[in-house]
Amino acid sequence: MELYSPEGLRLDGRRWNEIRNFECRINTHPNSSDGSSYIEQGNTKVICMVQGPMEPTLRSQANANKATIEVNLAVANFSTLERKKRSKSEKRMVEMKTTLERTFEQSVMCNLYPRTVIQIDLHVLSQDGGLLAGLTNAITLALIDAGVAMYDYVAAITAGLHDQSPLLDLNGLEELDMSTLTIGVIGKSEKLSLLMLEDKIPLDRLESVLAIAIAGSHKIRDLMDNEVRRHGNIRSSKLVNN
Amino acid sequence: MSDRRRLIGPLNTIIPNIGISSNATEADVFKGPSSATRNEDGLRQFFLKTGIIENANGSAYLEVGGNIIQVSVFGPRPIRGSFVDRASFSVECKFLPYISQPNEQLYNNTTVNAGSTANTGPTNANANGRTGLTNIEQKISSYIETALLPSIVLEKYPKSTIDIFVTILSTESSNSGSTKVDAALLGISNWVLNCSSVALVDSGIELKDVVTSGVATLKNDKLLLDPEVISSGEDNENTLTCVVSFMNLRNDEIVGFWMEGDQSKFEESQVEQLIDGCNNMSRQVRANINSYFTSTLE
Amino acid sequence: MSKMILSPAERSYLYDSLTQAPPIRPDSRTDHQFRPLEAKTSFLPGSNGSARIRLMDGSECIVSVKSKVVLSALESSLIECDIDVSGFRDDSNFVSNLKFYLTNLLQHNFPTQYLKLTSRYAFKLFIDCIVISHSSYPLSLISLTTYLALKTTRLPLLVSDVNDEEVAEQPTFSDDWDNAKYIGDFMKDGEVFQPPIFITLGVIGPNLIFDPSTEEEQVLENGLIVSFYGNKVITPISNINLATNSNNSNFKGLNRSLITKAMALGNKYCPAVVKALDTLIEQDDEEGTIF
Repeated sequence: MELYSPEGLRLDGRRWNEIRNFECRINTHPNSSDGSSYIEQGNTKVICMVQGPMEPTLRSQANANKATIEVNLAVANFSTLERKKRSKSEKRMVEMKTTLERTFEQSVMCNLYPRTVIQIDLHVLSQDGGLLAGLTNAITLALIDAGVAMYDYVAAITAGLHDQSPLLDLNGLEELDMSTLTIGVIGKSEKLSLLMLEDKIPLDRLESVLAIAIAGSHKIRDLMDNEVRRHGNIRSSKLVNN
Repeated sequence: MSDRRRLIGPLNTIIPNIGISSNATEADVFKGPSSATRNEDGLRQFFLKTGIIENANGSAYLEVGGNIIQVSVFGPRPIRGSFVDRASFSVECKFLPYISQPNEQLYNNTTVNAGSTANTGPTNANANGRTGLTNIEQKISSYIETALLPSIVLEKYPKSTIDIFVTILSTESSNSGSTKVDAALLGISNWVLNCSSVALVDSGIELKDVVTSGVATLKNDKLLLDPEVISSGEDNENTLTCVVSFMNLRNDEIVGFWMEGDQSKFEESQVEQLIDGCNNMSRQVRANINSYFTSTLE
Repeated sequence: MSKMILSPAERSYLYDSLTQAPPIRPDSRTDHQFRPLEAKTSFLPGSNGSARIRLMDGSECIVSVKSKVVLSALESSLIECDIDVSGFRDDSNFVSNLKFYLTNLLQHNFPTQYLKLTSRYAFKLFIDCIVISHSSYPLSLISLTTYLALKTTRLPLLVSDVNDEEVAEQPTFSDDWDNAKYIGDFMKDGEVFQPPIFITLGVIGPNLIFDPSTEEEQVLENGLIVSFYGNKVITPISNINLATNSNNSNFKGLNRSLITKAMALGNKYCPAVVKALDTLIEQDDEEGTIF
């Protein structure tokens, strides 16, 4: 199996710097949550629902200075090619959940919502690489939909290093075969709020991988921004008509 | 407020006399499933005793056929935290770990942990290794809870909980291979309910009525009360089994209803017939329980 | 979603309206009407069948059906169900009971003979339900979604020999997904594939109300679960406390006539429910996305 052909084509026909089909929707669950989103990044599909800021059920979650962010990650048994029953206490899941909580504690203006909890429920319907990135993008959109104050978009994407050449937005097969870097970029800046490297990349190669990942994140940010504006226009037109 | 930092043992603990034999004769303790004799009314004889657990507010022990059930009632116990105007009520039913549960291969997702660990431990250890309740245990617990809930005067006990703990020490479905019929499940639920009712009475908690229960099967239009578990080889087609729990002094109100079985020609008249059968059995069980309690008063 | 607790006055008002003949329901439904729902099928390319149902109150369930080729001698059952309810532990009483109900229903009422491939091999179906959010007891939501998912489940076409008693060979399948068949296609002429469903009925006074909403559940006197398969009401039938806590002070025993009445109502109105679900499948566009 050839991950990257001499002609510069990848398994699914993309070039090295191309992202997969990215679809997103916000306000998908207006009746059951305060903010919601659905994203498809290639074949990775995630539903995200945000409740809050609301009064915490446990007193231990109330912080007098800032909001507590709680992420619940549910990966469906059928999300992978081979069905597998998985438990929520799996190490990989717990790590991902903590990573996401920490990322968004920095990106949300938590100090505006003291003594509250913001609950984020994630449902992974299908996974094909770039799960952490997909989850991050879904949360960003759902938080925007919920009207939670944030500093800027957190747009995330994966990139990997195949031999000498960096590849953007890896799919499941590619992710198995090379070391993968997931980053979350704040808005149009080059500041990172999330960085996760699985396996290793030579230090002198990291620069180029990071560069392509940041460029990819900016693309994702623009696509998410389009959707947010599209939805905003629909809402404001409704306001005018009423 | 009591000391919450320590786990205090029960008040009247007894140190067991380890190493001293109790001289029990084996034959008296346990009779095999087939040895249950039926009375002329069609029911099997059952053995009942209350007040066997001193630390519980109420308890009961029941043997019928190969089934051995023990129930303890705790409550009303105070709860901490927010005010509730009625007692909350819960039931937890467990099989002893080595007892095979009826149809467990079907309901308890045993295939899930088959590969994960060497499966020599208790059968009801779930995926994360903790012994929670299995699906079957949860289902029986729910049936008992639903059926007993209308009978308890919960309004009398604000800020409290009433908890029932059921332990199934033995079942007659030792290892039947029949996967199609849930008769064993209904049978055991029926006796667990009757035993729990007795334990509730023993606890002195205020009740609107004593709930009693009956189980019946209908096979080829033949009604059989309190059926023994059908052996695996037998033809289970066209068998309809039903457990119904009643409050007999309150217009025979039905508080628990659960029907299973084949339905190739399933009609309302059959349901009527089964409910009648269960009601008969329930009344007989009730009469037995009544005479048990009157005899203990003397 | 946080549950709205009714005040004593609201409870009394709701109770009185529901015990009228005919009952007056808060959302002006008749006693045998279901809440309106929105459905989507075949949106998960990685599953053999998938469906999603949403109600107006935000309740939502997603079901996936995946198949696996197994040696039938090694399996105790060719159907396995799993349910995940958002906000509940897998081993909680709530989830365990839902799992028990669904497994029980499908175990006894499914034409498993059509899953047999050869004398040795068979398809095993894994039915996974995710309840993303719910307000009323989700059993009937889960079972209706499962109906849609099973109806739209496609299994690959067997191209190897059906008779493998003498020569042991692994079954092989057609590469072309267009050749895949619906479970209903395997059935004989005149037979229709109609997976079983559950309906929940609320008991209040002399009335039985279909598909009670979360507000109605708080004042019900009892509940019934009735199953429907092959165009008639079948077992399991049982009663249930639909309010999840023991705080419903109206809860009491039910009259035996209501059980037979529930069966009669089930026989009368469930065919329409099944027909409505079939129409939903026909009208569903073949577009791949769910939102």
